[in-house]
Amino acid sequence: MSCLQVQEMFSAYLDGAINGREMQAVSTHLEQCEGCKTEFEAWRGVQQMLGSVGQLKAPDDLGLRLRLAISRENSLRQGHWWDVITMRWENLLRPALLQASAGFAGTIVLVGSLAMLIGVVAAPQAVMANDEPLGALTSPHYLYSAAHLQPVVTPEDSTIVIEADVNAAGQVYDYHILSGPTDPSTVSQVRDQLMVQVYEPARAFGEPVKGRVLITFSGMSVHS
Amino acid sequence: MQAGIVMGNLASAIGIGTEDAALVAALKAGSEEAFGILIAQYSQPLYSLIARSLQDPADAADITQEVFIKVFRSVGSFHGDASLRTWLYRIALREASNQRRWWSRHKRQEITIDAPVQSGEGEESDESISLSGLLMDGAGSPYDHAAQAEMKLRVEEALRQLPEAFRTVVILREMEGFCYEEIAEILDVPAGTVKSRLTRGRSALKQILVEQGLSVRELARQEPATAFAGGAR
Repeated sequence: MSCLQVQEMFSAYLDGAINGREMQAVSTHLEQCEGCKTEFEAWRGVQQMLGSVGQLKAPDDLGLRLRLAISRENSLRQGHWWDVITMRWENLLRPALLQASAGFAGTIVLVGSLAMLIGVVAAPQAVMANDEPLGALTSPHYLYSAAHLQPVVTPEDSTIVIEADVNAAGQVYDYHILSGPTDPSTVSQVRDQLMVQVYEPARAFGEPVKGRVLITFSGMSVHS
Repeated sequence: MQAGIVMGNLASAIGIGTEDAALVAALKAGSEEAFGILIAQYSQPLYSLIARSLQDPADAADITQEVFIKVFRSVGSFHGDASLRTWLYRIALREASNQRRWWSRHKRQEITIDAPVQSGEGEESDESISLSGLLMDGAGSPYDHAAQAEMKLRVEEALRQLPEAFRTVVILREMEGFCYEEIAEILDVPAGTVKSRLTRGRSALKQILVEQGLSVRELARQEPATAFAGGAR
């Protein structure tokens, strides 16, 4: 048997896929031919290398992924809507159920605690109906006149509008006629009226302060 | 030694055949538990086979899933003419082949940082190898790990350079341990074709390794304990 013939049988010889007579012939040749022996050992070396490399490692989650795919396929095959929903529940929602429950419970506790704190600690006090509102500013308003009111007689028929300054004691201490007759007689009568009027003074934070009030005289008696 | 291999193959074939019957019956009944067993038993080897058959090993998990879905859908038509194992490998190789054709048409121009280091020339020059797919695990000292990783890389690259027809036969025989008849069943070719492809594939692989820088004498000195300490799985 020639070297070429022997070398063509190396592959089958490695696998034991030749008959006994051929195997004997190859074996005898290898014992006698150093070149073929080295060549065959190289073939066997390649075989050893291939066998030693092993399999490529699959991703760790491949098994789980395949089982999920089969489970989904199984549900689709059965074709019942309830099975599909159950399968999705099992595969998608159920694994997240614990987290979802914990989240929901956490939200309840958080919102409840906040509500309780707001209700107990920071509860607004009941409104007192007659309380002077803190921080509110009030303007002066008319209370009464110390003397009997006399009609103001004016030379023309028009309304008199006066801006009066009221001090903290509720008395008018200055005034300006914004509109209406300004003749000395009318001014004198208006001044007399203002001098006897008493006002509830303006208040800031409950304390009486100076304020300003608009007074209108109308329906006056007209001197002809 | 050869007689031992033949007897081992025979014994394993008988053993698998006995277990197959019960498993196939459960699979046909649609038992998810049976598919769980199937997945536990075959997902790793099928993934490895598919990853070595694809241009982009990153697609191997998706294709493996496609294979198991096809198995689920078509297990009813499995009549036991072949063993369950060879039937699974046939489906896996067919899916990988479809994916290769799709890849050649659509993704050949795409380049990502994770995959492919182009290798070789000739018929399979468009095929490539992913470093991340190769340097995955291992044990031993850093030196052992590095040496093992380097040798794995060298062998995987050499495999990638083999023409597809030879590579598949070499992987099925040397790495998956199928006998000639089983490979013939999986590939649907005569056993004589398997034998000749294996001869040419082994010869070409040796030649590629020599071209990578390993001399024939170095190859002859390769022993599992020294070349790949802890490499066998």
